[in-house]
Amino acid sequence: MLGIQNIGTYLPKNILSNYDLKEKFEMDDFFIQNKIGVEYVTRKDKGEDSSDMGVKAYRNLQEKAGFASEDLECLIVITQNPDYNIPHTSAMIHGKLDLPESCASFDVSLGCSGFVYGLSVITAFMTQNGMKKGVLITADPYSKVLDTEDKNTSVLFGDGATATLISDAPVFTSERFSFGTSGKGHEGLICRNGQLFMSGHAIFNFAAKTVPKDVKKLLEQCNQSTDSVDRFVFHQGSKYIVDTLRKRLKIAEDKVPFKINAYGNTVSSSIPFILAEMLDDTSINTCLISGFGVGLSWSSALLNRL
Amino acid sequence: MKLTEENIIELLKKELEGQIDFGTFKNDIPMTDQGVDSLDKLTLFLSLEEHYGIKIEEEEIDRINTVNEILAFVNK
Repeated sequence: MLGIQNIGTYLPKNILSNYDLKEKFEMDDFFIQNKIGVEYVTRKDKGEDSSDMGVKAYRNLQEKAGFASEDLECLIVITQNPDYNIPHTSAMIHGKLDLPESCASFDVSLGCSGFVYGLSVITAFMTQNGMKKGVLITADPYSKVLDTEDKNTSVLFGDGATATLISDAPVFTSERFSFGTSGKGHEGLICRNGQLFMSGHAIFNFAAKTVPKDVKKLLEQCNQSTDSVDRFVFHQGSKYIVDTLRKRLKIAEDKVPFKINAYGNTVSSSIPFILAEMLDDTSINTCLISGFGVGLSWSSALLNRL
Repeated sequence: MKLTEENIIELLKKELEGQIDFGTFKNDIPMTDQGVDSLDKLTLFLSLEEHYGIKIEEEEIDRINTVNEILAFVNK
């Protein structure tokens, strides 16, 4: 059975402090720490692009998992900020890593729901084609499209990348997925003329209304409850939205991690960043992950430790 | 159904318990000056929609700052 064996991560070293923006954006310490929950945001180097970040996450994965690149059969990259429109970023990463020509490589264009969707796509693709080793990369540096004058986005989003090894020696396998799209709301989070715009109101309403319903439905389908699942890893949009989801679902606070205060909302990377820390914690046997955002799109999955 | 200030305060208490001093809370003073920040306003307006079917559009949100302004808007 295929599943998640290990996860590599990469965060750029450049860090901006939201405390330096208190006056500009009329924020106090309480708002920074307890409402948005983001104290610092990471920024890639100017000369660094999405593919470079993906390569660095992959190198970290190799250090952790110790596999040989020549064994890789599949590489999927989740990004909406590719290096170029043409070619796909996965081909660039394939080239930079000198992966074998037999390795299938393609991109999936999704935002904050991308890791969960991608996990289903790569597992199904590998199963269909009899593959045993593949990597799912998330690399979506929003600093490429951020307006530094926009409080809604510039204090929230950080740059980061992850690389998840999918293999036949998994730590976590996925039991079931749910998916959804509300395309009429696509203007709620959109990049126009190279600049990101987010309606905090639209995204908040979407997440607060949609995600709890989706999570409850998935729990029912898996004969699980909020009590029986060990962790709920929600997309780390902001502390406020994660707290809102936790309260609406009536889940104990210690079951719902929020860990982005030092680097920000890394879009499709936010869930694997947290999963990477959970892989060695054998007290966590079941974990529900849920990504939501751009699209508007959402996807949840129940993971079980083998 | 006509909404009353009690309806609004009830929702505020439900959503923001412990965050606001309701003993000194005033209906004609901006909520943002009384412990309700811009994110809490989103929660309150979502709660209004879910409890009473009243949808406040995005362009109205910045304009509505007090309980009295909410009542004026929803009861107009």
